[in-house]
Amino acid sequence: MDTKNHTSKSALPPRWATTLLRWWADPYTLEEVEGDLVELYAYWMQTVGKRKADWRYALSALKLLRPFAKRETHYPTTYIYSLMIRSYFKIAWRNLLKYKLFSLINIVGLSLAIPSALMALIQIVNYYEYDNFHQDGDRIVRVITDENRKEGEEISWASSPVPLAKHIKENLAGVENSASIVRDSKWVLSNGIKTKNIQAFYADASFFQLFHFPLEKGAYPVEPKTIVLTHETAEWFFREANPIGNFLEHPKYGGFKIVGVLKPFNQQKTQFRTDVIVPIDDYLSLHDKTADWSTLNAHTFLKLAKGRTAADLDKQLSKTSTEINQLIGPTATKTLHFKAQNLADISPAKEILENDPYIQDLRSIYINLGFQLILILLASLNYINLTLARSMNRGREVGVRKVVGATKIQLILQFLTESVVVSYIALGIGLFLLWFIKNQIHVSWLTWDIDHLGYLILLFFVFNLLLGLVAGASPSLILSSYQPIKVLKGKVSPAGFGKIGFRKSLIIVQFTIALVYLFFMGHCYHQINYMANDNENFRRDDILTINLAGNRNKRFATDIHMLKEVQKIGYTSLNFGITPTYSGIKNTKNEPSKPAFYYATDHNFIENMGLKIVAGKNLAESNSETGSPMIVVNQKAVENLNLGSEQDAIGKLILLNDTLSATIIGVVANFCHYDYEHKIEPVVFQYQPSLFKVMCVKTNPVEDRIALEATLQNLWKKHNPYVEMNASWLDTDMYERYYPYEDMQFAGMEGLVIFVIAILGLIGILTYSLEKRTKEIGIRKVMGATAAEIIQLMSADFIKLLAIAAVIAIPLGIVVALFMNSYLVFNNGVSYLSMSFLLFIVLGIALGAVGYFSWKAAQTNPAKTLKAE
Amino acid sequence: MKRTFLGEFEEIVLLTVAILGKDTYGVTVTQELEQKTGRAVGFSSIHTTLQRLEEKGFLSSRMGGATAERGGRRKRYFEVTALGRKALMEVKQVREELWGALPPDTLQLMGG
Repeated sequence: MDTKNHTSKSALPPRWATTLLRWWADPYTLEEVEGDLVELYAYWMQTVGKRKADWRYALSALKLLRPFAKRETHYPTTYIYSLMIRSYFKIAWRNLLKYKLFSLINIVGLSLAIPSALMALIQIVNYYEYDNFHQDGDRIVRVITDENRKEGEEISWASSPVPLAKHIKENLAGVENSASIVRDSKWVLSNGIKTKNIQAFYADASFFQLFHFPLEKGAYPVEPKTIVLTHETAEWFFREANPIGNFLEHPKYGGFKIVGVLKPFNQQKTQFRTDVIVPIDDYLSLHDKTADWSTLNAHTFLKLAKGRTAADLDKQLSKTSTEINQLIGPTATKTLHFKAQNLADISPAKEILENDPYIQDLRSIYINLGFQLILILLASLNYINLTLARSMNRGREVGVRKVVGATKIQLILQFLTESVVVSYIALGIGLFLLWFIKNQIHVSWLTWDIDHLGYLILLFFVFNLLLGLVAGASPSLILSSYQPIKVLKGKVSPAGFGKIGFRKSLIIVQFTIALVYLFFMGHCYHQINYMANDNENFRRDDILTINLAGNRNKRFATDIHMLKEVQKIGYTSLNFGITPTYSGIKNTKNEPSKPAFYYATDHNFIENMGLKIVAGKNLAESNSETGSPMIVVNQKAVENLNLGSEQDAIGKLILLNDTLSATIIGVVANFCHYDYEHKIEPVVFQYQPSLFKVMCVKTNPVEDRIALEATLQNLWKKHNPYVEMNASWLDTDMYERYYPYEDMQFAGMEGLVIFVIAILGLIGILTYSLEKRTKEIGIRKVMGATAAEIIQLMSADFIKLLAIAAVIAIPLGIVVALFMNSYLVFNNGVSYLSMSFLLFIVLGIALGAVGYFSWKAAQTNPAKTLKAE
Repeated sequence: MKRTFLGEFEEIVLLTVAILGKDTYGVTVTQELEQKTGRAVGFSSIHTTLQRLEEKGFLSSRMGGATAERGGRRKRYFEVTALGRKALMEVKQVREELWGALPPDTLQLMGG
């Protein structure tokens, strides 16, 4: 029966039914079924009308669906056949080898960028592994505090009042144990020979029951004025000697007896980072705080009884909060609300809490990762860019493949396979680099010690898969959508994004980022160099400091004064560079004291340090054993005490530490004596021999410091046969302290990587564009252009791009430097010299590359290049 | 005797294919059956039956050439195989035997 005439274009069968049919019907018979139904639909339209025709069509289609039936296996339309996969990899590999330069650029760029991203990943994994080594850690919670101020402000604290732990243990049911710690990061301890700024925390004895910090030797501190040291601190102070029973001196709190040494533990894997642990009773007595409920200085940890959860505790805590708020008193300007937080939830912090040291919050973690990802992004942009640049060559391949019958999905998979292969080759090299970094470069912020290594490796692989897919996404989509007929006719130009010249803007972006980062590095180096070396604040060259070991060593001083190398011998309570102790100053008895840093020094020390006296005179030269009420202050002290001008201040009487009325005899210019970030504060110098701890010897610039030290050592032995001499050079001390060599090394590496990636991108685009213009160069040469003219012509475009990058980067670099300087009270300004030096290097190398490749292109023999066509 | 089972609907479809001869595909079979039996036959049942008969070996099929009608989709033409003819003959024979065994006046009684 002829149905041709019945077919009418206006009436179409329901589309959804056809679509369903295509998705779910038997693919083996789909074609004829579809055809038959189209024909029948027309027939039904004629015989029973549209409504019934629609109905019958849909019904027939629905009845033919076989959603759960197995597809015919001998009719492959899929692309995940092992043969196909093998083919993808084979072609990918051949393409890598075919375009060696581009593959090299892509792989090198990516593999340079990968290690730092992997390190960021390691760090993130580590944040999730904080404090996972404590027994019954799942039952330990921390009490955190929400503080509601009367003004309506709400602050979330990680800490809680000091007496809370005890209170909870005594009053709440279901709490097995409790411990509180109070951190103090500004401790100073000295063994008489060496002095160290250290971090300490006060903890009660139950801290060691809750948390797993085993002892190496000795016992945990219980008695007041006893401490336990970490392995590293003990080693620093006592080397191999047994420290148990020895004393360490705190300048303010006096001597502490060492009763134990902890086994080494990885400080990076815990929030309980410290050098010493002191019993909490000492905190209470030293700070005179027995029942202070209103300051949130402590971190309170509870161990719950089995089967109880943090939620249970929360209910009890809300009652406790009410009690405590009553204790603080209704007049207080704030109310406290305590909450329980599981130990495992502390790091990384989901929300930022005040007073939560060593805990990173999620946001800053991911910002850091994002920063590392910029590097990766730059490298993958190179990949995208170079792949698209070659789209002409690949376009023909796409055309042929499509004509032969490749589907779009298959082509996309081919290109994705290529990018993924490149990314995994880069991962291999990146892992090797990572291994190299691990062994060669110490990175202070990172621990390599990860518990879930398998998880980490999985993370690496997934990360790289994503990297490959992201880098390959846009090239694969663009390339696979080429129309074969156009490509094969040669009508397609290289792909790109829009007309702004994606490639050009990429070069600008890469070089801008590289330049800004290098400027940033240069600025850091400039500032660190300033802090680490002799600068205008105080003299540190040729200054040898010798610890007095409890006695002024006057005869030793007389002896060494005979040496021709020794110029001047001064005394001080503390060297510059270490956090000094505070004293109070005021004008009259009845006003509150203002804080001022206090140094007990003599005349020579101030001279040795080269302090600038702006008014009055130095402390009087004296050898007496009693202190003098004559003091020298800095400009800030004059300002804070409202004494008028520096000249006016001379001769004024002030009260030092509430009791001593002292006369200002000199004013020194403000200078940085310990911390460059710290704001300028008043300083007082007084002649007070009983507090002298350090001898400060100014020497001639000596070549052989070791020989001089040996000479001094012998003299020291004569007067102090039982005590080792402990001497160090101020300049090397300060250099070691401020020069973060390893971090600089790492940051420098990172800068180099960004730069190399930018250069690689430049070279890739450069060689590509020169390749495309081979014929043009040949013709120009034939027409009589000189090599110089060709080089100029070929490089003009790139020079313009580099110039734009420089113009953008320079102001940005200055802004970054100014921003950083705003945090440093004592800074070295912006170093335009180092900026121009870096600019010169970067642009020099980039222009060198441009020049070299253009020159090479200009050297080709036109007879050869033109013959090729 | 090895018995090839032929369902009633299968038998009718097979028979229709045999009747239609050369121009046999889904649509013609559907229309023919509709006209001959006077009731609407679902295309899907015709299609599945044709498939089943082919699986059983009673029908063979080949794809026709592409045509401009029905969106260029090809038709699948069916033809009765030797096995199919034999099955039809068998069925016919069984029927005839059964009819023959019927006492002459029974039908009239039943019809009465």
